[in-house]
Amino acid sequence: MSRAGRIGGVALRQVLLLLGITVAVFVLLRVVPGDAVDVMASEGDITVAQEDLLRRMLGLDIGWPGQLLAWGSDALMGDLGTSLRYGQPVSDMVWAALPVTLGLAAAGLAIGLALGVALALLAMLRPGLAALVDALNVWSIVMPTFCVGLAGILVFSVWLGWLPSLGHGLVPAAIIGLDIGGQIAKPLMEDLRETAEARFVTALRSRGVRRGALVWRHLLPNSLTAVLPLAGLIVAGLVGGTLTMEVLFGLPGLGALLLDAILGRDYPVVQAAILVLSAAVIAANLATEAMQRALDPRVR
Amino acid sequence: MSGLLVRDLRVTLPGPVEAVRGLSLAVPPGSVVGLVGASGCGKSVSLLAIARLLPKRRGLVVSGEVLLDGRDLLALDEVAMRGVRGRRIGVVFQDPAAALDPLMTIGAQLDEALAANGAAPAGIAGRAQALLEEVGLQDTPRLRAAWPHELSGGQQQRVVIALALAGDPSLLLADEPTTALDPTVQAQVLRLLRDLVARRGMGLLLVSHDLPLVAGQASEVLVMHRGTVVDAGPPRAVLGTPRHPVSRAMVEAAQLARAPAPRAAPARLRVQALRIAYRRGTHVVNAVQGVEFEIAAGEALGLVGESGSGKSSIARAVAGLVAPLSGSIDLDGARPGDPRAWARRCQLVAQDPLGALNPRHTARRALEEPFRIHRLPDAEARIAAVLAEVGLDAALLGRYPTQLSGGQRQRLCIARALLLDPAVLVCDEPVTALDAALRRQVLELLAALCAQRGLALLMISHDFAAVRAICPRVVVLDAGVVIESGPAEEVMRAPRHARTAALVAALPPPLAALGNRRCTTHPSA
Amino acid sequence: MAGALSATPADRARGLGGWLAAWLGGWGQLGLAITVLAVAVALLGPALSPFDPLAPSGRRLQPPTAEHWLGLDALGRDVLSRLITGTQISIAVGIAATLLAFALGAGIGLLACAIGGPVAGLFLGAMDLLRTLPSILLALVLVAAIGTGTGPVTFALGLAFAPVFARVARAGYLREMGAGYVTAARGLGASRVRLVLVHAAPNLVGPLLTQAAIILPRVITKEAVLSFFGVGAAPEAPTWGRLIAEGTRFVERAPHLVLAPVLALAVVTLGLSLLGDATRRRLDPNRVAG
Repeated sequence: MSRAGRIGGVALRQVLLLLGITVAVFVLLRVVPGDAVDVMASEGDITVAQEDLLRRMLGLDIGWPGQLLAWGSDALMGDLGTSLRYGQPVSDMVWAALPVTLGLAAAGLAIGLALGVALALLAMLRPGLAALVDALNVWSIVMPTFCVGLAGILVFSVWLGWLPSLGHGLVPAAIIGLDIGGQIAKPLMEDLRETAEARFVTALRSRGVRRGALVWRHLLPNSLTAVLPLAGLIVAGLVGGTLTMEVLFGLPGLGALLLDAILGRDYPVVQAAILVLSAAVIAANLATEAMQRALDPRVR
Repeated sequence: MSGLLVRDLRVTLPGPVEAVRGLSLAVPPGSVVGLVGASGCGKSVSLLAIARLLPKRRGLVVSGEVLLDGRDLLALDEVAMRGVRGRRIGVVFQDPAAALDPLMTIGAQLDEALAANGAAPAGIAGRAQALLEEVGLQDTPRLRAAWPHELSGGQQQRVVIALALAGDPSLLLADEPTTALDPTVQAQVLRLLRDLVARRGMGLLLVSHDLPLVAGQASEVLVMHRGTVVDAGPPRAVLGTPRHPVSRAMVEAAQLARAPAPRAAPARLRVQALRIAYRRGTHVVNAVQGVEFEIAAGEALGLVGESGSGKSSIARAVAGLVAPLSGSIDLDGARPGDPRAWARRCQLVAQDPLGALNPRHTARRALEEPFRIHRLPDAEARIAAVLAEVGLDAALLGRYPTQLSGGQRQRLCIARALLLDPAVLVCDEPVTALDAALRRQVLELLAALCAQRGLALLMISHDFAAVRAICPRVVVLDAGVVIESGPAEEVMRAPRHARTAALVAALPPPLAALGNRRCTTHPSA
Repeated sequence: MAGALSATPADRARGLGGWLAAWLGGWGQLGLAITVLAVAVALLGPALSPFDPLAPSGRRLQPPTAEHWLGLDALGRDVLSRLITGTQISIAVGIAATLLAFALGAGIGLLACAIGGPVAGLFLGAMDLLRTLPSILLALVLVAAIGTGTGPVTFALGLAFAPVFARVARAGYLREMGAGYVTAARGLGASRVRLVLVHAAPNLVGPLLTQAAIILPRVITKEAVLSFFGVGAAPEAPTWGRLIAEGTRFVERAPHLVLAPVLALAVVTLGLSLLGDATRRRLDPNRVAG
């Protein structure tokens, strides 16, 4: 198969996944009993007649295939519907929340990558630092970001009194970064060490190539291609961690939006938040795939 | 003095392991010196120690003198050593695919090597072109833009040699430079190295496990065993009157037997118009097309070809592991179709004995497997009998595959195949992974089994020398097609096809001939 | 691998306990100790609780005392008793969801591999793609659809983690069926069932169990996160996540309310993770037997 064909195949599968998730979520949300009007009814006094009227107004009175068609055609035009609880356009709510989530995820990823790569390189050059890499790795294996986040709140807001800690983005970003750094540093360090003893590195040394060039032009790119397959797990961890941190630290991002919508059975918002989050994960996976191809001629 | 002079080199590796215990040798400019020994004898460690390329570890101790043009390399610091590597010493490595950075184009690696050795930026393109031409490669934009994995093994090794020459070194160290290559490519690379030494007046230290190969190239041969040199001298002397049991064993092992002339006998296994194809993605790759041969009971047939010629596909088809697209495989009227029935007629001994043994099963369990599958009686007695037949000690039965030596694993796989009393035994490269002494033993075993059991043996190999040792007849394969067949001696004496001729020419010259030959690579050249 | 599982005579002399200790290593032993303790607390549950976890037994938000070791919550209920009940629920849900994920992922994954064909390929491809989505997102979607409560949350977590097992099963199956010794057994005339059961499956048990050991603490954490979010197991049940959520409201006046369940969660996940990591190291398929 041609190169373009293979890349197209990968992209197609990912888009199909997105489509599948969207439809599955839509159907799942509609086939189960109970809807937004039921929630409103349980929260306040609404008569049965009012319930029926509300359902008709919100388009909940027709079957799910009809709703899916209506929603799908609107979504293609960029209209994600109206929030059942707040009456606002869902697109506006998602647009407002997106920068918070993207900012937190990007900051966490940047901290994690910088920490992981720097530590791995240092530990290769100074074997004594390997213990630090091991410790960070154990940390990210055994300490869920959820627990670390709660500990962070306790330490920073209660004991140190750095209020308002809720809403402060740096602490959650650092917690996510620490987690990602620990996941990357260990395998990268191990691969760097292995690569440093590879035949071609000995060959480069036998030609008098300088150590700096050796590390930056040969060792690091080769080891990065070996670690890149971990990116899928790291992206999943990153998104999961970001959602958790948003709720924990009260940041008004997509995670907080999604949770609020789930609790209130605000289907259009749930649907849109999941659509955007899945799309982000899929975009990240495609980006990794592209990076792998750019770095490694053997997989092109 | 000029050239390389090593005095009393000693290397202790972390462990501690005394890998080299007092090596002394001299490589004058323009000469080829061969360092020969079995794996683990310390020859490669010596080479890396001379270039100061052993990985720095706590516990690594190198002592003695390594004088290059009078300067002791062991006394230099790392910065000074960097000036020596590349510019004074070039190194050629065993597996060329592993010796190139897989993520960098050939052109970029050449440019980097030239720049590291002080070439002026303006002159790099011209120098790169000259180097590529010198190693017999066409300097085209396509080659420069190619990635290492896109080149053939021979091309890769030529690039590695070009990189080693980038700094115009006066000494070349070559560590098993042809071991990973196909036989015809081996011969080409050796010729290239010999030409370069003659043209540039470089010294060449050639390290290898292959005594005949080194003897054909070097003006002096050193045989190494357990870290010391046990025999040394001109090839003629070492081969003619080996002074040490180790060199004597190497000479003996290199002299393989010759199979008797073919005799007429009714065929048992008949393979006709065999065609095998694999599906790769959307298109079909033809591995084997129209192959035909016959084997009689008690006869060994050699199937010879280079990698990718379709040999292994034929082995798998005859063993009933892949279904051919068309054609027939016929044994006394039976055909592979029912795996259970065919397994009792035809057995395959795979190329990699370690991989063919389940790591969770002991040797005993591996040998019981045929009895369990076919619900056969008398496992104990029959296993004992087969063990005696293949020369395997029953005390080893409790061991796991990783606890056995390479030769023991190979015998274990052969024993397992024999337990089903097959009429046909297919051996895929049975001796490729073994060193010379074991190779000889396993070949003798196969020949004996063939004669005593009346087995029809199909031996598959790229090595004419090994095939000739037990097979009276050979079939030569190229790109999935039979290009030649006939009595082994006849095919080798007068090959009719160019590819066959290349395979035969790639064999090291017979040892007897070497003794009388003048070395063509002497400094006078 | 065979070597990793079989004890040497010296190990046997020290008995099973000694062998297990050596097998796990120092950190693994700590993990095992914590795990055993947590499971014991979960099993004994009510017998250990000094007070009724659901009824008030003293002053609201009272700090820890000799009588109430972990103090009282906003409604005057004993925190230790609630924590013990929470341990029971968290561990039960964690183990049940992990078993469900194992059965669904490994079972259906292996079945699909063995059957082959385009439908199975499509199924495995979909599982592989789902694996790249964050498990908490999948769990949230499922909880949103099927509702909250102990059963639905267990089911949602089981489904969310199934793709991981499917992938391990598939990768292991492909690796094993391509191995030289499976081909060799095929050459000896072994049937497909025998190839899978005798030669391939024993080498899959290790990776799958390892995966289960790695997944269990994550499932427990995710259950706590879902409870914390308010969509976890039974709304009124004192799960760890719910205790944490309740505690955060009084974090300044009574930090012990958050601290106790967070520490419980952290210590148990730490113990399970250490145990899982030790298992992974020992059962790594790349380890050479010997």
